[in-house]
Amino acid sequence: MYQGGYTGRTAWIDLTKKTASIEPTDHELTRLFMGGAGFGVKLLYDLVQPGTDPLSPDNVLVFAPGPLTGTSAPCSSRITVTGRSPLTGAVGMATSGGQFPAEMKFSGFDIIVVQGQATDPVYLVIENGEIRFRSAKKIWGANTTDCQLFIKQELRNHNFRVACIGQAGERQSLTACIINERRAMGRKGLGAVMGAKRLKAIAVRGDCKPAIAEPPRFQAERQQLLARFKAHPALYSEFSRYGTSSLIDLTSEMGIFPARNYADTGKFTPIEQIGYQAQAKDIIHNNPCHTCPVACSQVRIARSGEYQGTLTEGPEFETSWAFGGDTGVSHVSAIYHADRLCDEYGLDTITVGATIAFAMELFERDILTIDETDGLELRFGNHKAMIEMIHRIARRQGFGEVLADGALRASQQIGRGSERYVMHIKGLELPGYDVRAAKAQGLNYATAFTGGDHNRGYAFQEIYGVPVPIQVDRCDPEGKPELTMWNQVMEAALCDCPTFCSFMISDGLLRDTEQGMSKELSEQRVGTVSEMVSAATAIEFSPSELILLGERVNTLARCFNLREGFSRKDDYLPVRLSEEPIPAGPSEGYLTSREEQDGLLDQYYEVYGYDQRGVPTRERLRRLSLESVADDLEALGLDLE
Amino acid sequence: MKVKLRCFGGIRTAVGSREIILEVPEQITLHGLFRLVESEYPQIPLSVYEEDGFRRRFRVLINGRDTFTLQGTDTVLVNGDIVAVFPLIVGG
Repeated sequence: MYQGGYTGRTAWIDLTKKTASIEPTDHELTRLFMGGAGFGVKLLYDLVQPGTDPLSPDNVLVFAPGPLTGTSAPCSSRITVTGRSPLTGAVGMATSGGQFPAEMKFSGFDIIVVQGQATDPVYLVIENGEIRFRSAKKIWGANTTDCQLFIKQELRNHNFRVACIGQAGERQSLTACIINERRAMGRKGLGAVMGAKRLKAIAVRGDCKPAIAEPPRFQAERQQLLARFKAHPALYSEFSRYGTSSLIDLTSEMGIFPARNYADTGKFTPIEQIGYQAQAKDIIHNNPCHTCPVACSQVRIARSGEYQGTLTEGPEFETSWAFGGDTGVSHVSAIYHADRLCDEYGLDTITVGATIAFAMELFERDILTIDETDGLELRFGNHKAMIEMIHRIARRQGFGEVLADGALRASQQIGRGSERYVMHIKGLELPGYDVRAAKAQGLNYATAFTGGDHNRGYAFQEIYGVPVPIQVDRCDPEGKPELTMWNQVMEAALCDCPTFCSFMISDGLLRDTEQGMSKELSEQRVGTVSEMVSAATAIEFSPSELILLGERVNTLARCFNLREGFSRKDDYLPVRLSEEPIPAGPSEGYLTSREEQDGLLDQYYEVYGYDQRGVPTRERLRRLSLESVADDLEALGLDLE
Repeated sequence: MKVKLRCFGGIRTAVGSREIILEVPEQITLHGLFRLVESEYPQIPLSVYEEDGFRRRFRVLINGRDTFTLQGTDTVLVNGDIVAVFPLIVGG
């Protein structure tokens, strides 16, 4: 029996049999994995056998908020969706905020596990502890806005919150994501998994607000956290006003805003055209996530020109980069339009933008001809070609069919040396930080269990300058393995499992006015989260247990990848970043040589308790209560130290 | 010699310009530049930066690098340097 935080119920959906069962949320699971990413990784590891085709009925989708989601904890409406990624073959995990995560808890469930494959398109209705299947035939083919509207109309209740796929997911494009309202559970192609299962949407609603086990204790921590937000010099005055668009200006000034498929970093810095100031004039209103007092997400509208009238929520920094810097486009309204199109088709903006940028470089280098691109002048900066390409990717039309499954697969089809220009790790296209001059951010890209992903251990010390736990020089590799592990563990322990917004944790909770933080002060801040979870649930998580939990989640995810055949060789940056220095600007000359990467990886594995192949030792797994995993790995022929 | 001062976020709004080109004496330090800027633009209280490091209000980059990787506010500027003043930035 759970006293708070958790609803105590897990929904098991079998689409093949069209059945749903409701089971108690497992106590061992909550104690060792807490929620969110922890639930996702553990259930993925247990339920998906090695070698499972990600688009087969045997893959799963685990929708999991955390124990704080749906409570009054600020910025806690976050959800992770986990399955085996069809894009990478590794752990596929997407996170999102908005209203859907909290509403899912209100619908009465801690976890929704989706298995099997429906014969005909369906959507799920989950309301106050009850689960129904409904036909989605009428909306198969609909974009995400229409889909959400249709479902609310059909259910005669506009209070439902809907997570759904667009046409891209239906066509099993590996660049597809899952959309809730205008938020994306993005990257790793999980929209294609939903499409393969013929699951168009999940609609949730309810009144089952999770209880708080110890209200005075919970409120004390909550008030303290809110006070820290309020005292922060920029959360309300800057972040509420400009959102993540300020990062365009900051990374450009640092010389790490990647340009034109990472070939021209420092040469192309369109701050004035697409930076925060250019975007600020177009903001209509903010759209906060549930319980977020800051509301960094903003709705913008193109006020003039050929995209006039395009309305979009965002674009967030990464989208502005993917359809701006990476493609060499300096037309801000075209970026809004690209963002909106991707939301409607259910496409991931980073992967799609990066894949188009990759194709643009091939076109510029005459590796691709205009016949192959169906007459499109796919040159850097050509926003019309970029927009047209998004349509064609979503429809798998012409050359869009080649790009619809991401840059790596496109290069495998195209050949002719194009592989060199794919900016990916483990098959996932890189986000918008040139890590040749941000070493911890780079090591996180290389080692993140989801592939080239900024969200698994963002180096906010290097990018935002937050001196926690230490102040670092972004260009210096010294100390970065330890820092990367710290960031990855904190991401899991403080953000993705409880769940909390990582923006608020990295800055609102951790940033301090000191010149750096002592170990004791770091633990005190971790204690804020462990106290909130403990007070909400009456399950005691000490700060050290919370940190161990983060290590457990990350290590189990790595073991899932090892089981799928990933190894040290997959933990390297693309060859361009190790051989070609940043060509211009403030970070000119920096690269991350293969030798440097080897040194970083050696140390990174060591601090995590892995051997030099990147395989956890048996002792390490035992300490993390993952002893059975050691046996699994040995059964697959991996000898453990 | 000349240095460029670039302002972002609320600071830019206060100053009314993204970039200001300043004529400054040779061998001026970042500290010296701050004094000069404050006398002309009191709306940018750069002394806060010196009192609190870059934690409380601002982040200052010289040619894209954090000042602590150089000589802090004792860093001597040279002709053409770009000094960027950001509010604290979150999120990405």
